[in-house]
Amino acid sequence: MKKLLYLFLIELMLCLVLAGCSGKTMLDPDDPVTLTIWHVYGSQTSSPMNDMIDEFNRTSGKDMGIFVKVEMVTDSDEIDNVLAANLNEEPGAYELPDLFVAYPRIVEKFGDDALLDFSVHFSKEELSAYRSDFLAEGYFGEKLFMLPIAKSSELIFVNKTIFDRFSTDTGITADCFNHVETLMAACNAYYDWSQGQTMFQIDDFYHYFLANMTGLNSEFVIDGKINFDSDAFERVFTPIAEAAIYGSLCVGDGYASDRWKTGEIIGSAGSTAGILYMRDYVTYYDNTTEDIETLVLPYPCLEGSKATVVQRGGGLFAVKNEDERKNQAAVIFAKWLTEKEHNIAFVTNAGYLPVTNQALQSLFTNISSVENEKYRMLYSAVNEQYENGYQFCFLPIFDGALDMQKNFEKLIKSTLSNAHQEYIRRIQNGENRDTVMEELTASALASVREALN
Amino acid sequence: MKRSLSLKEIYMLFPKQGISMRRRFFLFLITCLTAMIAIFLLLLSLFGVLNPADSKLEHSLTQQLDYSFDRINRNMEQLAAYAVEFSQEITKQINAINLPFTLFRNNPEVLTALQYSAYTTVLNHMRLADCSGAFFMLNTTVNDGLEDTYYSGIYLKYANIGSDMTFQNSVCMFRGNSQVARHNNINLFSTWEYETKKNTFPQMEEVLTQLESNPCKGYLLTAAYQLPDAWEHVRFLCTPIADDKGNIIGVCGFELSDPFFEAQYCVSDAEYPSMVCAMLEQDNGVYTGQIARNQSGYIPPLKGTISVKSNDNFFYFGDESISLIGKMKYINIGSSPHIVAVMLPESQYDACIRVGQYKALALFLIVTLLTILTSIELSQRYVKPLLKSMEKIKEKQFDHNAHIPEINDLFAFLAEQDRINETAFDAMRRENADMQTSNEFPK
Repeated sequence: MKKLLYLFLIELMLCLVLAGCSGKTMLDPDDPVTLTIWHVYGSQTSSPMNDMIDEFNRTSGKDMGIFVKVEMVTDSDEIDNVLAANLNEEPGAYELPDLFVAYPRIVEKFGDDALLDFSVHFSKEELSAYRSDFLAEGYFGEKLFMLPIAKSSELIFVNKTIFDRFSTDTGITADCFNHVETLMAACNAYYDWSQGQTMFQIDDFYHYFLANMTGLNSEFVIDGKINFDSDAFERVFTPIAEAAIYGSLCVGDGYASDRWKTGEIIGSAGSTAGILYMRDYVTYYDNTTEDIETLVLPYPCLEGSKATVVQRGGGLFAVKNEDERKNQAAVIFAKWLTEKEHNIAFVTNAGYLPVTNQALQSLFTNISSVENEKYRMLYSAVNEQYENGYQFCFLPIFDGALDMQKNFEKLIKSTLSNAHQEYIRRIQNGENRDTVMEELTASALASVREALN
Repeated sequence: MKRSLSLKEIYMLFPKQGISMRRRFFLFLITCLTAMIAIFLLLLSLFGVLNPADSKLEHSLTQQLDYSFDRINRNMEQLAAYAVEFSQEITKQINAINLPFTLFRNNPEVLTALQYSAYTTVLNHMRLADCSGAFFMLNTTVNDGLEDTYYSGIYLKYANIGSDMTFQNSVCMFRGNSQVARHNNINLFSTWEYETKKNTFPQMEEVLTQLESNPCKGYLLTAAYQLPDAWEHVRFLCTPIADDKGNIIGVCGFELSDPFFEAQYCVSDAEYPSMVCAMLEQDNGVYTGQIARNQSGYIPPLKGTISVKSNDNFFYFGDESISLIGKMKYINIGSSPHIVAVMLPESQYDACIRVGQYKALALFLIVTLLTILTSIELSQRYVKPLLKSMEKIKEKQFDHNAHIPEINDLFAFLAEQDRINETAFDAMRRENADMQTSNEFPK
């Protein structure tokens, strides 16, 4: 009896001690696990991604004990910078989030074991639901580090209201947007018509070169270096250089949506996601505003080349966590976000494309179901690209791709901007326009080639 | 040769007298009493009457509230000091234009020139102060022929809606002249507008009509507003801008956005990781405000208006989706009243209380079991020998080594009595024998 009592007492104490020491391994609605996320969908304006996260937190997240907290909404370059600052252990760097949206190029900055391999947590059947080319972008060897949640393509946005006025006066029609050469010629005509206004902005020159060189059956990047010596490079460079030197193609910093707000440009080539920022009115210098109509058109190509467009859009990455509950939660959230109805609801409010075969088919067979007229126009333009036999290209991944892309962008803009200043100076000095243009275009190409060498 | 004594030998040196019966009884009584008290406490904690977690939690909330209150108070005073300096700088720049303020109206050239010159002042003050944005807004416009009324000025914000505004964060223009933004190589905010429309920030506009024009006295902290067409909530610390005659011609100050507030007043190192700090305002019984981040990273998803109810030592905060429990304190920032609150979700408060209850239950259960076991042990070791000795008395087996002094004494006494009785009996027997002998042989 006495021994039994002692045994009971020891067991009781052991139970109490062990209960105090045990760590949690399962998700628990009474003790929610918090996942921080940095993403690019919405930036400072109303964010469709934040709306989806709110819905997840209210429904599945609440039931399962997962709370997703948006810590940063910014552009992909900024996310790259801030992640790199942490990985380089720079003083004052942000702590890594649990989830972030970025392009595949970021993987080179992380170690082999720092990111969560989604393929371990998805069955083959689950993975087969995703569009294979979207999914392929996320694989690094056998590991699926980037899960596609929304993809975008590139196209053209036009301020139709102002363009119509220009068209009426000059006879230049919207057909000019079909080819790069006619588009740049229209830009120069607009510059003259508007007494010195830029007409068009290309958001991403790196993408412009990639798409158009691919369209000319040439490679833009060979062995991690830009193929600047080729004829194709010159062919792609020349029309935009001439327009930029003339002053009609904007080579300033920032996204086109910024200048769209003030009517400083009336057209841009950029991501489908740009539609979120293309407002329906223009504000002028005296604070008056004008309501405008927007035209969405397929991406332009060089005359005689195969129409090509970049398929872009980052994906969701999860930082591997020692707390297994966070890894589980990240997978649950990723699956929820790419379920057909959630994915369509998210992408059609953000100007992206869904990532599963079923959702993609459902969207394009029923574009009229998209509520917003501007967004319907966007999906029609994307569909047109699909139907007109556009070929799609992806951003090449190699060590140093991130820095190369940034440097290339800066190089093109600064070279052409300086050339434009020189052009203005020389024209004001009474030199012949055509001769100056020819000289400056050649010298701009030479200096770009020299810088890339 | 010296030899050290072992512990056993030392123990054997002590006389084996044993513990007295009085002490044994006292010890047994104490153990029984402790067991009864432990059972009583066990029952009290079982029914939730006794729970130390409750007072510990209250203490922790009070401590955190005092800390957050002091921090907010100090930061707001510092921010107000910067705002005063900011206001005086803007006044200087307006005066430098050397034109009556009334002539600024409908004069885009003058207002643009002012924005070019004031941009650096706004940016410097924004970098200097702990804030997420800085602005000045004048009671004038580039075009008063428009249907709505507008206020001219510059409003800069950190571009990234992140939690930490200070690291690698670029600046963008929320309100102001786009040419000034281009000139300074900054982008426009997604919902940029040239000027601020009337009634966008009503409390900020109240500064334009208030009586106190001295920036040192006329500052206030507004309630939190949702930025137009954005998902961010912000509040402003505003102070008036006065002309050289003391007339209020504008307002300037700093923006404190939700992400900034969350990071700035994050409750860290708290004993309860889900504890959050909030700054609330009350308007006709309706509470709104901003809630900071907590250690656990989980922020209660309070949306819109918050109801506040008082109950004994705590306040209950909540909306239709969640209920929180905590403490609050009133604070005046300039001329505006606010509330600083520290709270944690009621479910987690209940969980803390439950854990405290379980801990107390476990502790009292162990104490109860230990005292019962001790009672049993004492009964085995001390009461049982007593009973055995009683039996021996009945059987007249006097054991002089009972290790109980009283029993040993009793045995000694009874043995002595036996010996006396035996002697008396022998004497009587001898006397009796003598008497028989004298009867048989008379003298």
